[in-house]
Amino acid sequence: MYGIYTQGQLTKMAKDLYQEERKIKRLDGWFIAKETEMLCDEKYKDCAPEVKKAHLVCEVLKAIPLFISENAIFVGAQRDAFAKSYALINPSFTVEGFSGYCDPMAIYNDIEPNEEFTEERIDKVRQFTSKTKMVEMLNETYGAAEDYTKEVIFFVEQVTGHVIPDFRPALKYGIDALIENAKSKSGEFYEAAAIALSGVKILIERYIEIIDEQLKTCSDERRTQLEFLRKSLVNISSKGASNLYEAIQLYILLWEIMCMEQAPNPYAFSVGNADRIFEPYRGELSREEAAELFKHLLVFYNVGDRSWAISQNVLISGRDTQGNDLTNTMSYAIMDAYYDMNLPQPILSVKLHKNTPEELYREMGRFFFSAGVLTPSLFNDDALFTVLKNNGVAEEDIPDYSVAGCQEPLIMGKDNANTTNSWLSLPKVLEMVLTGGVSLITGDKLMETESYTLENIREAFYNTLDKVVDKMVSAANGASVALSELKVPFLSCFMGGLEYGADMRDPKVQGTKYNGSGCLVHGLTVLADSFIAIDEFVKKYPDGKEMLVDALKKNFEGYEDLHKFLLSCPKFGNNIEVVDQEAREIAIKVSEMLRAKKNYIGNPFRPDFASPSTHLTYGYWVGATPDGRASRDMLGYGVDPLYGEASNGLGFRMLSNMKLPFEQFNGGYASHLGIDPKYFKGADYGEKGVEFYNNVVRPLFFNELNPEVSPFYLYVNVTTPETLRKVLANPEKYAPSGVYIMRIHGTFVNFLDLSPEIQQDIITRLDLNSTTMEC
Amino acid sequence: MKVFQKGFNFSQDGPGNRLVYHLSGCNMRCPWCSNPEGMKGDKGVDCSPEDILKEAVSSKMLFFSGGGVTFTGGEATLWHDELLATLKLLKEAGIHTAIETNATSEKLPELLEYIDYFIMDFKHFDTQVLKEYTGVGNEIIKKNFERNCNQGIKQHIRIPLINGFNTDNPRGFCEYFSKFNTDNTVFEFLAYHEYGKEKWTEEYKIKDGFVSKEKLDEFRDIFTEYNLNLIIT
Repeated sequence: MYGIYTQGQLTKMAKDLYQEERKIKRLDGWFIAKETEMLCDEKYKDCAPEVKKAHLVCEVLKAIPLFISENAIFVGAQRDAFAKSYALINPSFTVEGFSGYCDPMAIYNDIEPNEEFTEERIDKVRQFTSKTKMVEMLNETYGAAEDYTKEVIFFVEQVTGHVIPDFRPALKYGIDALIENAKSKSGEFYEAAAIALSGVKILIERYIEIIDEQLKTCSDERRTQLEFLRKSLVNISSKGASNLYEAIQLYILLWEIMCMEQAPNPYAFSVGNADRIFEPYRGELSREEAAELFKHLLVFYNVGDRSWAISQNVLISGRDTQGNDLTNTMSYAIMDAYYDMNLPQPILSVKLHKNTPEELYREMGRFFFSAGVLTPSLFNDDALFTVLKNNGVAEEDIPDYSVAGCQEPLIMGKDNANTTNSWLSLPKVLEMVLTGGVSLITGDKLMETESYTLENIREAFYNTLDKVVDKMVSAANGASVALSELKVPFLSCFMGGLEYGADMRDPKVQGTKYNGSGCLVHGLTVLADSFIAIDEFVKKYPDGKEMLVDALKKNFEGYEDLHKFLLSCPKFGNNIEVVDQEAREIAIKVSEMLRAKKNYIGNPFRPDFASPSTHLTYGYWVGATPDGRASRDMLGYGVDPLYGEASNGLGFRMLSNMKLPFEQFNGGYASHLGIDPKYFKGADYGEKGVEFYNNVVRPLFFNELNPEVSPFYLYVNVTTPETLRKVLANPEKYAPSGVYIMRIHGTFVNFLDLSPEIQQDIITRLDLNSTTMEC
Repeated sequence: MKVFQKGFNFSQDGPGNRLVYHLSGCNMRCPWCSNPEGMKGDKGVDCSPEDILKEAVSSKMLFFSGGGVTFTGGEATLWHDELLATLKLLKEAGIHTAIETNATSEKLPELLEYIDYFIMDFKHFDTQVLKEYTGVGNEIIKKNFERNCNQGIKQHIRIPLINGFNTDNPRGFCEYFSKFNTDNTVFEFLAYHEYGKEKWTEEYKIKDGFVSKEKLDEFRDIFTEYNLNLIIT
């Protein structure tokens, strides 16, 4: 590469390109895509649905405006597939205002009319969309579940994005080979596949036209660059990639089309194990050259002024089935690219195992211990391999697991898991049991429940939960079937469609090797703490049921002593056996209950104990709970103790955590540690990285004395509330670049881009008392 | 016995990752104390030897890098009988034990039999000065130190360096220590800090206790001159 670009030039161009992207305030491409689909609807009305969609994808690719920046070394953009609507990084986000992002019509309120995109033009497309079958089916599903969803006993949504396409065959054999493959088979899906795949050629042709135009007036230096780009595009328009540059270029174009096909909701697609995908193409390129090229791929993932394309994952390192380490030069090049660019997207994760080289931990040190720099989340391959194997993933597929969305484990190219299909609030179900189905928040009767005594609270809870889960499953499946109306022939080609001959969303024929539907379970530790508090309460007040319920109704007002008593009961996160075992038991029972339910195509639901900001929004709809938590307070995050409840430091918190049944969490889970950097004394980043391994990662993930399946996920923010308050008060001083990256559940965010309530949540949940490493 | 604070520490009060119990109450009144809330002995949660054993056993997964349980304070030896019973139980369960003490207990040898790693403070060689500042002289401290030297018991001596209290005469320490066989003894200096200052409810009397790097180096040089084993932390 250094023949065409000078050393460092690629990096400078990548950074300039990113700055150009941050200046983009409007994202209208998705609207053009929807409008184009509307305008072409009539033209393809006689085609089979898959075939029609494939044609529409090609029409959109012909219609969207394209341009090539002077700083671009690759062509392609995903910005035309996204809208400025995702809640977390939206400054207008408020906890009370959040009603989910499932309404397919809400998007039309996010586009601000102007001269080009007039109110009338927007409304026409809005009306068209509102009459589509998918929207009708979805409305019906939501209507039937409204009593349960309005205060989030559960919630459901149609899951777009959230998978990991396997582009490796396309990179290796080329688009023509894939098209030939599709054409050699008969059926509507294959016909659609061949058409959709040809979209790559449409894009390449259009980009070459722009290049040819630019070549007429460009400088000599740019000419060399553009000619190299043009030559590469010609190569990959039919054949596979022959070097890293071509591999990244083809990858970008495939990604662009995949996202355009799902505009405006292509959230949370994942690259997968990027080092393994690209290392075969690195050839003679050095780590430094490879890193410079990769920086341009990173910039590609950032959309608009706030990097609106959220929750896109990149993973590195990991092991094979024999336990051999798979770290390669590309792993380190990718880390270099990430560290130097420090962008809000895409999210980096590192897969670890007991034979991970110390060098990798040394190299990670700079991420953890530089203020405002992204930190990779950590996966434990050794544990996760066991979890996946126990849940039916074939041995040979396991190393290809990767994560999508809020970091749910999935098999690249083979797994459609509808990860965020359903969301369940355990504490709200407990509220229903305690109050006879009447909301403590609104006083509305939300559901019928059976009578109970405090002594048999668990039995009553699980009986009610089972009924709630049945309702939830029915609604979730309704949403999945509604979504299947929106075909995705292009993506399906990289998810097993060319083998199974079906769209990956098909509700009758399974188009992927693996399939499931996710359920995000909320409030595990609040429920465990509440059960134990009820037990303690009953010992003290054997006939106190009414008093307890009244105290909850009044949010403990007038019940100050009782409130104190409830707060003093054992809490999860302090290595107290009785409550830790309660949490374990709840997790097992809930997981087994969910796995026993069938999704829209007959596969088990997958329990996922993660709560991407929904610990706030769902907590807002839960009244006071018997553990002493106040009405409308947040729930515990993922499987973590409720903030403030684990007060004996990191050691005890880890011990409680390790008692949870991780083998049950095949849908994933979330856990976060906010750690004060002062505990790490190493002389440099490398030494601190090794210290981090020795004192946090090894005891948690690779503990030889742990007889159970070990935790397999963790992310950290190594900082203090004081530091973050300073950054907010004086961003010019503490984050002069305007970017201060933090981790929040699955994703990186620019702390400065967040809504104030989410900023506050991050500060609160650092909860440094729960992670002290000194006593 | 009463525990007023507990948690894990890495390599600070003994080897590896350790579960540290701060036992309530102290017989000294050091004005620089960083855990003043544990001085009076009125705070804390009652724990039996069995409670501690149970917790320690359930914490084994975190005793990595040769870790175990450490008792500190306050002053742990004020709970002699309970502590002895606890140490016996821990040893029976195969758990590594350590203690950090001011060594003012005459019954220390009884405990030592069940202690794998022994840390004691040695704040001043001059009993009058020590008594003036802390309310307790150093006679028993010296007796414990000397006996450990004579019997070849491994010991880790901590000297808190506090400006205005004990930093004027490094040789005073060395002259005393070097009279004994210190082959099995290591010395560590703890430079004054104010981490506990905000926890004081009474007046915090240390005005300027900080020691310079030069002073620390001076102590290290002179101890080295006397062939005393130092650990640098």
